[in-house]
Amino acid sequence: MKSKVITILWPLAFGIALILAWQFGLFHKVLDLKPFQLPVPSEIASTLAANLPKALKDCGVTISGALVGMIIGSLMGFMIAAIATFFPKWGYGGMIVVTALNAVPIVALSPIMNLWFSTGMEQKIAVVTVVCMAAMAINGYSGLNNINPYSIDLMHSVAASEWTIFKKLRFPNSLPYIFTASKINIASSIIAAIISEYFAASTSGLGFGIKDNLRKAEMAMGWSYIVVASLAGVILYCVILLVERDALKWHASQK
Amino acid sequence: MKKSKFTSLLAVIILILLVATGCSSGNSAATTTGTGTSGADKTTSGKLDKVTLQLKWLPQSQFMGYYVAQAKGYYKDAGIDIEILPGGSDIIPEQQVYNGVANIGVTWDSSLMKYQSKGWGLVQVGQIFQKSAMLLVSKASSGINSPKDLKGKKVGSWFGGNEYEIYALLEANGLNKDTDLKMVQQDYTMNQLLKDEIDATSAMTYNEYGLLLESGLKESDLHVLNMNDAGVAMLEDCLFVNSDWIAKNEDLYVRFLKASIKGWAEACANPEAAGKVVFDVDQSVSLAHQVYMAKEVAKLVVPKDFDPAKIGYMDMAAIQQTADLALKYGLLSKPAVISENTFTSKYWTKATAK
Amino acid sequence: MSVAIGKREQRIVAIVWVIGIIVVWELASFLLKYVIQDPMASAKLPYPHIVAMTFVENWKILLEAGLVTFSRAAIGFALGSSVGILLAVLMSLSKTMERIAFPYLIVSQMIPVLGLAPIIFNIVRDMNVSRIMIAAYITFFPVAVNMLSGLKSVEQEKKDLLFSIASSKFKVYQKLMLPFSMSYLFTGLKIAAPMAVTASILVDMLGSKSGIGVKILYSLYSNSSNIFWASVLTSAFMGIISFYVVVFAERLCLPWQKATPRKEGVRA
Repeated sequence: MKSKVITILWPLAFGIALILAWQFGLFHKVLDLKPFQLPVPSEIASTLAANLPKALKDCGVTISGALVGMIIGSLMGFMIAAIATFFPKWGYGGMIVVTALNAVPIVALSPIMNLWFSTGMEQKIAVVTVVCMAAMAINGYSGLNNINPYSIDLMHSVAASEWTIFKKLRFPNSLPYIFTASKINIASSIIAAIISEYFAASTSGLGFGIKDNLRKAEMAMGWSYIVVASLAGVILYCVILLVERDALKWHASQK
Repeated sequence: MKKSKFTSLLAVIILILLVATGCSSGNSAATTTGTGTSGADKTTSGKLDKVTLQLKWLPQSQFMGYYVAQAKGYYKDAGIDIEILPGGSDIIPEQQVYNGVANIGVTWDSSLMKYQSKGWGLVQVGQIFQKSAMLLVSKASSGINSPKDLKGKKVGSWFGGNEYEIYALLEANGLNKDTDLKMVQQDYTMNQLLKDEIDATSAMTYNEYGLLLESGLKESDLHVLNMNDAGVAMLEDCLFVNSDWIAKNEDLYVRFLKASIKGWAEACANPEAAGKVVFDVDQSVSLAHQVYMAKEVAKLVVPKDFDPAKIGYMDMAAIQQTADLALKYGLLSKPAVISENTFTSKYWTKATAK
Repeated sequence: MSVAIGKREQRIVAIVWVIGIIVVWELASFLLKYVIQDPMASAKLPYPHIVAMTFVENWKILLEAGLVTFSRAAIGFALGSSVGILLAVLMSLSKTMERIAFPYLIVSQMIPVLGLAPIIFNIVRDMNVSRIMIAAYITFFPVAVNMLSGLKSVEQEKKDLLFSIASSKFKVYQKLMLPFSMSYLFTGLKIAAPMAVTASILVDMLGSKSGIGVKILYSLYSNSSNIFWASVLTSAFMGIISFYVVVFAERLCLPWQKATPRKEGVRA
């Protein structure tokens, strides 16, 4: 119990210190910024409070798109990794294709997806899917293949099929990697969803709010949207941590 | 074995550092050709004063006057070493000029008013476009012949400050922007209109309208609502500076403006050639489009019956109309302050004095 | 598993893949244009041979732009991954440190360039330095996450063993933790490398005059769909190259990974 309190206490204390330093102008002094360039926390908070229902609605739009895209992208990424594992000779090319896709910036992907899909939500999910595939495919592949060779030899010696090896050995071995990829993807899915909304055919979502307000010098409003995105990101990250703790009780990283 | 792993980590770090140093030397060459900054330039150009101009958007004929002045050496003749920074979707000119990344910026009047109202010490010092270039374009087949026909339609805008002329147009025609029609964000292409996903799209006379024509549509296929005709025009491309900077560099700015006006006058007199000058700066956009844009921009800078000697003139009535519309339709929360400290034509007067 | 593939076979596989992709793409473009009769077909998915022709016609411009972008990506990658490794080691040193830092690392990734860039410009006031900083900022995250996962995956028993023979913390890191986390690190680097290209393209768009990002931006907004696709393809190529640079570095640094059985498994 005590350790749990500490788990929350430390980052919280750090956060409060950070916010205080920000509020009382330390950042602004050190970085030579004016409050109208980077608003102070109290201003962001009051702006957010005044616009909370809209901000939450926009947050829902962005996060739901990000999550759906992340799930589809992660599943596809893992499938590509699995195919590359089962058919190393031919399947590995899929990994290269995913990597190539990963180098196409969202700024270029979004207009392409705008052409392919008509609603902002579809476009967003498509962009996030593409962005999330690579981290999962590459991590998944490492997890499925960085295996103690003696374990494989052992499996082979009892005439286990490739499928059994996958189920009993490779997949459990890949779990820590999958969670690692999920942690990366939580961050990249949200930011991808946000940037895709800069170009989306809709006027809802955190990304639209950020772009529209920052361009119009409504810094407090823009930053309050960034705060909402950050909070959503941290909460989702904590969810991943909890699931990881349950799923990987046996693994060294959880001890 | 483990020892070798540790050395391998070392190797990784060394490799990374090598890549970094190797490329930084390569990059420095690339950046000097790329942005042409500092260092080498200064030594060769001796006593030229360095001025950085931040454009609102990509290098295109929209900004031809500056490119012509640069290409013809007008800035150099005025003792100025000019650097023209392209804009982009993540670049906000007001921020760049306030930060000091650039000395002079190009932006829209309404946007500048918004920044001024938020406390940014920026001042407008020249009005290049005398007319609004904003159009609302629809396909003839959608039957939008007057603003009233927009009722129940999907209308595209770039937002981020570009939506207020459309709001004004709607309200002037008794339409409520929230309930009578659907406003949709458009990306920077014209694809949504071409795909019939929206009924009307925001388009600039000099750019997007041309793209629609280039994509195979004829003028007769398109219906155009012009903000100038509807009496809801807001001023666009203007020059602005940081108040602190101009206090110390008054003479420098006047020299810059004088050279720029010379460049604009020449560009507007011969848009064909100006388009070519811009095309030579960056060839990503076709020559034909740059020339089209140059011709259209010339009409905004030197409209009919406008004396080319007055390029850059600040029409205070038009500026006031822009401020009024910005206030009425919600961009500004309080009336814009239009004074010597925010909108001043004194430098323009000096630059155009004989 | 992938041990037995020879050089020649690899080449054949690669060629089949490339031809396969071109054929499928060509077919898809054809279907879109003539079977579905999509009026936007040439923008949605132009024929690969047309993109290839654009590529050939503009190879010099694209190569130049690519070099600018790639060199910036390399610096961003080097800087970002160094920061990522450093952060991961720091976080693994103390659980408290990790708890404090990790939520804020996530937060850092939520700040879009549009909000971040003006602040960095304001601090640095030099566009080129700012661009590299932003590229590194985007790149460090996957490296840090993967490296940290690797460091944390070391079994406590092994650590205890080393500590029991009176090894210092430094020794434990040197002999056990860092070597152990190498496979995670390289996985992270493989993700980060193409991301560095993406980041570099993004910062090209921050008012740069050259680079693939500039080509993408300009061609997109002037309806030059062929140049746009050729530029996108160039960025994909750069992603593949960057990926192979890391794979090559991995083979150099961890030769046992593929060739010989590994001495210690990841399996708990």
